Amino acid sequence: MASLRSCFPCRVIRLLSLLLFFGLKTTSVLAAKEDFTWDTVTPEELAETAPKIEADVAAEALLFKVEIDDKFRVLGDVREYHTHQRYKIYDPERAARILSLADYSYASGNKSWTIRARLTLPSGETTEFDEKAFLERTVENKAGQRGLLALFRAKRTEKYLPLTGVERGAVLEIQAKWQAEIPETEIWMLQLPEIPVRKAEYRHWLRDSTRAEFKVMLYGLNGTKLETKVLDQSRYKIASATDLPAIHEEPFSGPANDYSAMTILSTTDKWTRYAYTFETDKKMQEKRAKDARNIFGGPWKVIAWNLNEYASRYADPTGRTKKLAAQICVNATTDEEKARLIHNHVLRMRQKYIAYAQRTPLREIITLASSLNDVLDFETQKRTFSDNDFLMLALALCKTQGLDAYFIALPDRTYFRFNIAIVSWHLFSRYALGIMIDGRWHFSSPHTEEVLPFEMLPMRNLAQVALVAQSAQEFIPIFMPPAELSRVALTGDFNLDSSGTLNGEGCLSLTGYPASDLRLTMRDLDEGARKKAAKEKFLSSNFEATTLEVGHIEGLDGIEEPLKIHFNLTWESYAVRTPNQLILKPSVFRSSAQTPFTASTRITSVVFPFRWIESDEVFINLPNDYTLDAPVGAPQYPGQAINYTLKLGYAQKEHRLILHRDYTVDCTELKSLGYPMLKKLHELIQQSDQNEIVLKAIAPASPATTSAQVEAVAP
Amino acid sequence: MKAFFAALLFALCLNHSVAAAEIPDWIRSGLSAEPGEWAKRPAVVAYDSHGVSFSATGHIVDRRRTVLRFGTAAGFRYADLDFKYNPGSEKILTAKAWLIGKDGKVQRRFKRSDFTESFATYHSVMWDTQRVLYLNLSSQVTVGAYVAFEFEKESTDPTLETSHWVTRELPAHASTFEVSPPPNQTLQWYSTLSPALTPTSGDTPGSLRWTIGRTDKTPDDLPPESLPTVRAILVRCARPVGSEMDQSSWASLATAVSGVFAPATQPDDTVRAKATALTSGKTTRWERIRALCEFVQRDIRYIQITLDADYLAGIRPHRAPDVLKKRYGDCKDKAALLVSLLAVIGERSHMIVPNAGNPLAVVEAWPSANWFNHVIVGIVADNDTPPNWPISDVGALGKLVIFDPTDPVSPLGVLYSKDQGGFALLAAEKDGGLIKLPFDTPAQSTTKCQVTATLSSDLLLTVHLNTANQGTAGSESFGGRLFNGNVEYGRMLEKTLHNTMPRVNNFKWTDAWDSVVSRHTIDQHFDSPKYGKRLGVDRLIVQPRLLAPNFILPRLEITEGVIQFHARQIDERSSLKLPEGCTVTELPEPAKADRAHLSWDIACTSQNGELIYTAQIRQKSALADAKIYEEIRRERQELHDLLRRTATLTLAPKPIQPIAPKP
Repeated sequence: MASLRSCFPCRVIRLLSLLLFFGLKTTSVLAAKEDFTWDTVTPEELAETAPKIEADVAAEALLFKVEIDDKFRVLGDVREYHTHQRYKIYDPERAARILSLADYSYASGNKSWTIRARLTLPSGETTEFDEKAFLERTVENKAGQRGLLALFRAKRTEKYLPLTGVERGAVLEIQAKWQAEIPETEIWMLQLPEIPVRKAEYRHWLRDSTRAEFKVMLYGLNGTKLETKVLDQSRYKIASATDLPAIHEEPFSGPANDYSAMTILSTTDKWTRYAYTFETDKKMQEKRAKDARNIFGGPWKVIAWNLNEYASRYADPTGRTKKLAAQICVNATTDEEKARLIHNHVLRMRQKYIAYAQRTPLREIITLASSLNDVLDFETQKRTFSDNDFLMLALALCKTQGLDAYFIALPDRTYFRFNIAIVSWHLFSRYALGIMIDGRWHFSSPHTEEVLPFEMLPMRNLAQVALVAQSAQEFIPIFMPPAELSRVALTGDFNLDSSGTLNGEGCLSLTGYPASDLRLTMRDLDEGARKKAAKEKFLSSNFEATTLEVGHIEGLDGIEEPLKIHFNLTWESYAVRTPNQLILKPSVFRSSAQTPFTASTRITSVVFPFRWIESDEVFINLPNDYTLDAPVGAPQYPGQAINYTLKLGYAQKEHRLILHRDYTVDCTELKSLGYPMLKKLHELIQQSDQNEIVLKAIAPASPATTSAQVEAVAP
Repeated sequence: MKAFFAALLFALCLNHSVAAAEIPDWIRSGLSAEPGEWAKRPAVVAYDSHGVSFSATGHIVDRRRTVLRFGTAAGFRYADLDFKYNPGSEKILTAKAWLIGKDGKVQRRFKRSDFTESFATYHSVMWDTQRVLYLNLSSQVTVGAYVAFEFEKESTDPTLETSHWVTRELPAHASTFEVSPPPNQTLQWYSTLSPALTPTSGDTPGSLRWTIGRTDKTPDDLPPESLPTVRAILVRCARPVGSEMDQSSWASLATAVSGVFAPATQPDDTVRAKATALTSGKTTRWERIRALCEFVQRDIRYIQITLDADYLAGIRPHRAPDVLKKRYGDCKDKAALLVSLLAVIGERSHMIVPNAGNPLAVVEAWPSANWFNHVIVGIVADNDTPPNWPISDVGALGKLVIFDPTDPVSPLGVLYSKDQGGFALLAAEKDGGLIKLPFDTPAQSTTKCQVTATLSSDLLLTVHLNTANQGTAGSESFGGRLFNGNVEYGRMLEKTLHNTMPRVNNFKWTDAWDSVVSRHTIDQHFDSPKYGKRLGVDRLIVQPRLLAPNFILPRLEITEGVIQFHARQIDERSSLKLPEGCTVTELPEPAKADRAHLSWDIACTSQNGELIYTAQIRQKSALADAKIYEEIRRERQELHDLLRRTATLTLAPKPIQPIAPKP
């Protein structure tokens, strides 16, 4: 034991631990001593009484400034951040909520974080909130950890600044400084929810950029208002903007850089580092040397090449994949059929794996990728597999069948619009397969949690481009799948009685994205919870029946076949009763639906999540003691991007109304300039959906004498 | 060598058998519970025991042992274990968990150091010393597997009181609750469970044990707004050991709580100076009181900071001078400051402790400070007090105007709806006790909706809608305006209009807030083309009630709990100016009714080319169980049917345009 205590490795470990400990402490002490300087609040700023950019806001940011300085450190480079916000407060009650003045709390393991605030009241009285004003508590630690280990362990702490006393007209400033490891992609939003920004500024001093692999780019993504400058031989980047409006949430809004000015600063060094790692591998070195001539194209080529290396290494067909592919495609006559069968097979396997993993305790294994045979044998492996393992299997199966299949990387459109000039592998959120058949790209994503049929990629990856994994830079467009693939069909067969009550049964049938979404929600639920989910998500939100009972659910395990939800409804007083009339809305499922575009104004583009079709078919058996009062017409608004048709008929023999309604969204996006037209169209659709027909009572003595055939009539 | 291996093998076998034997009996008991019809339930409580023992020194040891069985993947989230405690006054004695396969074999054991500790409350305006131990096993459990856990903590609480809540989040095969008193002490208990449960003797002298049989979970389709039924067993020692909280009666508890509050309400010079400054120039008594109420309500930010860790930490306010200096505090701090400021100007007021959000939470038969979660203020009323203010008659202390300084929008004269109707503790050294807070009457929450509209001959409807919400309705409406901001609130108004009017053009709006009478007025202007339902050539069907809220309620199966309905008085008037030559051919009949929960008086007339519709609707406050809910639903359906009756108009024939001869 004595010899162990004095042994060399132990001493080194102890020394390193102490260095690390003091290293951390030093950083913390240095950061704590940072001085904060405050610019003078001018009498003009204090005297202002009304907001300048947008009327009736609770506060305006006079300044929103981010300064970043990359520093060289022996133990690793660090990025130093300094943010400075200066707010003019017009309504303290609302501003307190918007700015979370009382909530300057943050959780961080980073002890270098310091924050200060200064409040200047309209009278000129100033209060500074320094370190003493903070409360601090440990965020988390391992329970029961005691002694030396606990001492060395960096505690994560939370600081809290109860910042109050803000009056109308006051100027509140908040400054924060901290250090962190340099991320590969630095993203800042320069606009704020509900608070306009008069001056936004982003300044970034980069570390010495002489190293060849270090590439930095700065982009202001939204727009016209963000000016960028590059100084000091590209070492100093500046982006600035003035008079930025507040961010307001809008339905069907697009990526974040649609509604906010953003800066993205990307470095490509990590991928280059990966490339070097590959180079250290002898086999890779040889391969790369061979490929070097063929790697061409723009700055994305390194990423594309690396993705290709990954795919070649882990999706190399084996004897078993060849045999399996042959079995799967035995009856396929075309390449498209083969690709579809392989997609469905891997998707079912993936779903089976998910269910298996829920039933079986598995060893958690984190690997870059698994061998294809292991994936095929997942039931005997007793270990975890990633979704990309299944994608590699699909790729191998496709290759085995001679399909021209590629691993593709997909950017996420909910974050920001893909910009080919911003080179960063961080912009890819998912991967999939692109299969070229007869000069046309087909897509397969069998490995995701949601059940996506062949040709469908996750919603967030649509309507942009994909980078093809190969020795060249090639982007291919990713279109939204056609509307026919995502259908929401509602059918109903109802009886209307003389009191105006409607009852009967219906069925909701979903395919494509709506089905995939609901399948994912329902997959792990028991029957009661599934019915509740179906009711809440699709049925109750569309119509307000008095009672609505969900019955049988079909096709939950399907892929391309519809997911069907049967239901019964009773709707008391559905029709308005007058002494001798019943007035009813034949479009039962849309009778209380509202246009999603109710706001008069729109700032951002309308971005649809996918293309889809809604089709309703309704039969209403009318009460025998009532007949149609007058022929009525149903308006139609045919169009290419958004199509709406409503057909209303009356079957005299059965004394029933028949309604067919189709609404199709066959576009991806609409610029805000076209919003008034879109709003008007949807208002007309709502009006048409709420179109009423009038039934008149038949005198008991005289039987029904008229029953007109009602045709669709254009307005 | 052989002997060595034999010994090693023996040692391994012994170790294995010891490990297997280490499964405590209570876990075995949980594993043996037959899932039966619950086999496919996401998660089921297979075993649950809650044991509490009181000591003569004021210590309480609280132990919970639970076994959960997972039937589907949807239940895995229940394997995220957490256990709250306050390190200042409580000590963790045991924290253990077991992951058990469906074969009943232990896969992993977890000891205290495997748990992660963090703060229990993370909120933008709350900061306290509560901690939580957590262990997330949701990614490790599988279908058919079990998770067992045992938590034990020791706390110091001389009140020697405990409770067992039957939450019914999950179905449970059975659970037991056992409480042991200190030597030579007896226990008092009260159960709100129905049917009532009688305890049996426990393992130690004087101890009591309740065995709660198989209970299913709360139904899935319970309305989210329903107030839950209190399902608890409450136990305490007959003689607490020197607690400041005498809970033997509501009066003694009121005195004790008043004793905790009193030091915080003492004013100093800064409080005196502030009170004087705020009330200078105010001539009437209620003007002075209003100035102080508004100051505490608006200029003291809500921040709850609890640094004390003793058993009274959640009850003890910060000192009024400190709250005034820092300009922040929680409900009790704000109430203490207001009482202090009022005292400076010679006004008598009391701190009142309700349960905000659930008027049925306080069980009258069991005096305890644990029922409450909020502090408000009662100010002595006088003859000048407006009659529609929220007033409670509290006996010897007279009538009190109830005011909540924490709610940022309900001014003096309006009581926040979540504070209404339940029992509350009036904290006073003498004559305090349990009081009943008032419910609004319809006249205390009113909406006046006036629509002035013109219909042109080409059926363009031009509308001016003026809505004045007053009292509780006013503060709630203004709250929506305040919290949503200008842009968002405008959009909300437009969205609401589209509920009844598919097409809305040229929309404009303004609003105004009068805090003295709690009135929020909204003016909206817009037009809507192609209004009405055209029948044939000259008939037009219109709804005389042009715009107004929907009264429909869905039919609900309320199997437990109640749904709260707030009182409301709605006065609507719509005048629709008809196009030239248009005549009214059919009008809805007047309707008047006074039902149990709802009354209405609806009239529709036509005069001077105008269609005039008026409606007065009164809804009373109610805590509705299944029967009452269905009654209210039917009454509202009846009202809804009456309100949307139509009128038939005959339009003037259009002049015939001469057809120009073809060239």
